[in-house]
Amino acid sequence: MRWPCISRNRTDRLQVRAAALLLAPSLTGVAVFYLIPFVEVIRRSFTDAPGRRFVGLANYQSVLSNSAFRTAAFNTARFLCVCIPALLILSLGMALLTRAAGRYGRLYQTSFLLPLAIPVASIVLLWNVLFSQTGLINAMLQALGAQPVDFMGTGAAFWVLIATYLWKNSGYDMVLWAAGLDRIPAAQYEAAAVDGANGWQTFRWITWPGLAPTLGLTALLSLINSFKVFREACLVAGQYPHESMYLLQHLFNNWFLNLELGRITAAAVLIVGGLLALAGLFMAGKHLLQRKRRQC
Amino acid sequence: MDIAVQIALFHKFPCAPHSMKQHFPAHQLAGAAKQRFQQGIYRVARGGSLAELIVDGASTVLANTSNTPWGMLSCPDGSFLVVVLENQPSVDGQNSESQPRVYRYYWDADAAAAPAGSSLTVWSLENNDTVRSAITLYEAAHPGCTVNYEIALQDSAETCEDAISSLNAALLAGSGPDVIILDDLDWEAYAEKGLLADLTAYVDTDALQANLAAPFLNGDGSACVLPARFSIPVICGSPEDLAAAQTLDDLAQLLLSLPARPAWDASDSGYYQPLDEPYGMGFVSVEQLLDFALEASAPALVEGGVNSSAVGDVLRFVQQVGSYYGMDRYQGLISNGVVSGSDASESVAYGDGSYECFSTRNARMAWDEMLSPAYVQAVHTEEGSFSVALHPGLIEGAFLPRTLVGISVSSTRPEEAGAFVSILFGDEVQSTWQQDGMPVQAASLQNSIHRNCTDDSALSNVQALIDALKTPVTRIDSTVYDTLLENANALIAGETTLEQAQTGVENALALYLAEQN
Repeated sequence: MRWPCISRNRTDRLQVRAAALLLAPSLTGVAVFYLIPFVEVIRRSFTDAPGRRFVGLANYQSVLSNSAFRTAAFNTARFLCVCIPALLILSLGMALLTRAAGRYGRLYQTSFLLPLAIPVASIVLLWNVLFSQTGLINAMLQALGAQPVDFMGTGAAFWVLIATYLWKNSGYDMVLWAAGLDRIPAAQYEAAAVDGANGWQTFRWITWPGLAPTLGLTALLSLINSFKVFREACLVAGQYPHESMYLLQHLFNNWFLNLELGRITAAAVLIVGGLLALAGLFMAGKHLLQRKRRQC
Repeated sequence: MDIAVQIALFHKFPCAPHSMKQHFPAHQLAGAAKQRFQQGIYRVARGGSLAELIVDGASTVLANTSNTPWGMLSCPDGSFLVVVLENQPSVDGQNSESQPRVYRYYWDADAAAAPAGSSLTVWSLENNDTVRSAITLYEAAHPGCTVNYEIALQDSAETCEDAISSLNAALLAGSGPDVIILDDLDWEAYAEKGLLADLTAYVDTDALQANLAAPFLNGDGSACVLPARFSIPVICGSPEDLAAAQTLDDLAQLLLSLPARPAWDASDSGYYQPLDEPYGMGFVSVEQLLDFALEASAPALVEGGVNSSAVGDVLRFVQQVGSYYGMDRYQGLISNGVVSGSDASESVAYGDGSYECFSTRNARMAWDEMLSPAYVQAVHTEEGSFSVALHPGLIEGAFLPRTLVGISVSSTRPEEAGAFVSILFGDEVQSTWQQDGMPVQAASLQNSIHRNCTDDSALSNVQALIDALKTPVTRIDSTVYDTLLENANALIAGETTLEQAQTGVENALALYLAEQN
């Protein structure tokens, strides 16, 4: 890595100072509300519940050997691996379609944002109306001669969770994709049309490369929003839902009620460490790819 | 605002002068209104529903439930006159007597807005009358210190889980209340996690009833949690019936040999008509039946994981009795009960189990939660041939600890907290009747037994019950309870078999137990 060369020029120094002053409030807030508490979390992961006695790696051993943690971690990873790609593809498709629909597309854009505005309690009510044993979907299935499905008591609960997440967040991601599409110069599309490119070629060589910066941001925000689906899951299915939708947040919530702060902090450090490792691998891979391209 | 109290001693309630604005006979208050009166004086606008607290009862004689509010006057100057019958033990300690007193509560503009001195925080989920009694005594003994009594679920939309989360967040952050009343909480978790201080520096455990304190003492003699009160789940019946109901299975067989209970409650006209042949025991709902089974069995169900055999025993009892009684037809039945007592004895509360045996006389046996030795005396008075025995169940010598007290290890006022706990376990509080259980202090317990049991048979019955106690049973976790209730209802409705219900409970609790491993 090459270190940036900082000029001792007076103007540069003033600019750096101004930037530091402007960033200071935000960085202070991040430090006070995120970084310092996380350092405390790391410390507590090596102590007992009151945070007084050092216990070494006992909390980590306890977490890694706990079957509930393994189940929750697996379910959460499975949920993320399914819902985030599905959401990105679905919302990108919606963005492209609403753009192709012209002025009518704006109306659809607005309506796709409505699920985001619906309160969690209303969504819970909707879940019960649709997916309960005597709900609308089971009534339709019975009318069609099929057997009713126990959506919340079987593995189908996982897919209900996925469907809820996609329904709620697709509008939000669609808006992000739309903003990314707006950044692609129209001249490139005109040039492609002059060269006789078809729709797929236009998408593959102009739209998709132009959306690369948006992809990272959209994926990150989708990841953050994916953890919020716990609210609906907890309100509908309680603290101990069907095993297929038992997520890490359920485990943390229940451990907190049982004062298992050592385990919670150890698990949090493990998860953050895992995500940072994945991010590191991704960055390293991206860096290698860029280096290969430059060599070519 | 602070309210100064002026005590005026009268032997008769004075005639109200014509200038007095409002008066009502407080002795006619009952239920929630009376409990509210003991929490203070409230004002509600005509046509409104929001109650405004005028006088906080926590620091006044109103909070002492051994006293009986008799009347109140609202004076033109905005003050209040309250007549209270104060129940005090007699000189010999064997009886109690009532002394009427008049208290005046008025607004003093010159009094300090905030009390000088320190403030101790006591926390509980629900209101606790023993704690209120201790607060009154503590503040009288420590004029420079006030007690802030936080009741998490009172007048609040907060759920139990939210309240516990808030408490845990405060304790784990090193703050929170000084004294914690651990009723309906998992007290063992708080003790194991080192969040509670040792109480033996403030409580003489040798002065407590040995078999009640023993389960709470650690190997080194320390104790992080101690109950200030206790009650006993009991059944009543003839010696032959009690001998035939030693276990849950035996009791179920006995109940099945008798007629089934009709699907009725106190609102049914036939409820008070005597039946040709009484049924075994009175239960008005599956929840009540399950609670009965769990009162002497709960700890066995999740001992070392899900104990399938114990779960099966409880579910089998509920299925046998519930199906026989046709409890799937018990829709919306309401509980009944009555409270009675005399000046010399503590009041006795009859729940459904006792009411249907001793009042309507349609149940052959009674069951209840014994909050006072007076219950046994009342049973012996109602039916001379009856005895009172411990609940049959999977746990031997089950008793229900109440007012479980702990001091937060992160309290910044440990000495004051210790002094408060000392008062809770001291003679004055332990010797008063708060309608929330029997005292754990051995001397006060013996005084209560002798004060309430006038018959030798009742006396020996109570003594035998107390000597047999050994295992505290606290409320089962709501996750386990909800699972059991769901499967019990399915069993009684015939929607599942016992083996399926057992498996259902194990599967439902798999995650719950996996978290705790």
